[in-house]
Amino acid sequence: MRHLLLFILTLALAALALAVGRNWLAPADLLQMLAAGPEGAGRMIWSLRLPRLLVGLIAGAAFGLAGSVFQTLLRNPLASPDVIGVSQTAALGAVLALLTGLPVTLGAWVGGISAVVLLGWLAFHPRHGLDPRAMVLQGLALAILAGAATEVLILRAGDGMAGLAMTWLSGTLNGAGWPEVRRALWLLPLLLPLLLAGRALDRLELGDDLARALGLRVGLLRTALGLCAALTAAGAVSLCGPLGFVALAAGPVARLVARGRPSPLAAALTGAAFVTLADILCRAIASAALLPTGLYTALIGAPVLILAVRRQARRDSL
Amino acid sequence: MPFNVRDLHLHLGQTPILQGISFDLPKRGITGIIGTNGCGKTTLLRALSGILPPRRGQVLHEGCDIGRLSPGDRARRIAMLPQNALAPPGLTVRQLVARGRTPWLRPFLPMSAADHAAVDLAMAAVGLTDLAPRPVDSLSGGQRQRAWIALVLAQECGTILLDEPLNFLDLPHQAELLHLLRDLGRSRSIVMILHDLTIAARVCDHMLALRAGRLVAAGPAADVLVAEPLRATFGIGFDCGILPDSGKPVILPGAL
Repeated sequence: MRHLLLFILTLALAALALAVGRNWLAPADLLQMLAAGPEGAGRMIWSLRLPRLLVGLIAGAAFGLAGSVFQTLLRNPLASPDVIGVSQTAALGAVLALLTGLPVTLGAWVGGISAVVLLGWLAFHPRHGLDPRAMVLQGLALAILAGAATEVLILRAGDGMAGLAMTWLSGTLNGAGWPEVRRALWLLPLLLPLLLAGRALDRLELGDDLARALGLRVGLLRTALGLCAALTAAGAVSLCGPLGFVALAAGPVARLVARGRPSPLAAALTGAAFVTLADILCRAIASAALLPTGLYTALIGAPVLILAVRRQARRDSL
Repeated sequence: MPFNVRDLHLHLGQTPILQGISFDLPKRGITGIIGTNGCGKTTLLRALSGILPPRRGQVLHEGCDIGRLSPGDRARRIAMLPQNALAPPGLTVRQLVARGRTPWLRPFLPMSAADHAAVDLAMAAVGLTDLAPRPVDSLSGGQRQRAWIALVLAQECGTILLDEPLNFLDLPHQAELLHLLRDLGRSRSIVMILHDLTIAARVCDHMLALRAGRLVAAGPAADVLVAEPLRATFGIGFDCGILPDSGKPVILPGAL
């Protein structure tokens, strides 16, 4: 039921996203242009707005899912890929790949995986196992470091600096087209294991010892899901840059809809709706000069996250 | 015999915690583990549950080496409530107790009627039925502890391991839980870590006393919970008496 509501909300936002832009479309015109097909009258929708919408939906779902999985794996609401440096390191990898002529997705993946492997290694204690708190704090440092390194690379690159900075520092859907949609399809097989991991996460969040006593292979699962979530977040970064706040806020916001830990599906839908809403504002408010979408995810995300945490705190103390 | 432990050695990191422990436990009844802080009680319990592999030696559960059981099989035979269990924020009592069913669920299928019945039964056993829809983090410490016990009961294992289950419980709820455990102990094997020796003498059939990673005494409670083995375990003297009316034991540190 709650998933259905989230799904309808996402669909409604998606329809709105197609209608909003430099030319606002009435519902009838929108349907007519969609029906007209990519050639002729429907060109604006088919070549610009539709691929942009699809990339936003997939990247948003990926960020939301990866964020809520990381938050559960590390039992910390701060532990989302955009806070612990996975997204920033993926962006750094993408820029390095771009400057050396390698595939961008590969660069982002190598960056994201390196981030979790490095953080896991740093936070591993031989006697007590993985220390999630240490991992989050060291991740904060990594996020700043990787962001700074990306900035240096972009500043040294010279030409086309503004566009690069917009994509790889704040993240944006500007310029997303069908090639990005094709790359986004690669992400879908990665989303599947995360969507199906609900029952493992149910046990994992009870603490390592109890999870093991309930039959979970904790080390194996944490490693597998952590790597998968890192690849997912990094893949989303390779499409539209490290959009801020989506991964961090999707989980807590989805929790307002579902009691307890939100299901992975709820977090994915929330992330998709979130990015779509941000992009609607991006194109509705500043249709002359497009600002990066990441600016709007932060503008919406910050107050929504604050409200979600406040409401949750009040509800938990009932 | 639910447990036969042979020459168990266990290290955490490079630190030796258990050094050569051997004992057998009866199939039914309650076994208490006692000892000072840091003597290895919790590590022994974790080794019995099979979540910590021994460096040397063997833990047999009903004749099977628990190191060879799959994690799922282990979780259907032995339940353990550790002290460091975490209540996820926002979860209701019913949702928390239902997590005890996870070892029995088929992949990707919802809980069956039997699973729901086991959850209901477990909540009723600890008197939490009325609080089922409440978030766990809104409960008092004692209510929360009972929710954890219910989770372990919902797991429906023949062997139950509990790490200081009386923590946070007020005296009436301690008495209630001990009654419940005694009932359960008639058909199952329960092993628990305890600090109160008088309570141990009242409810335990069998005792294991640890000191610095070694077993200093093991056997029927009446043989272990007396002055000499207790001095060897804790390094202090104890006053061990019998109440004149009921004939029940009372044990307190002699220095009090």
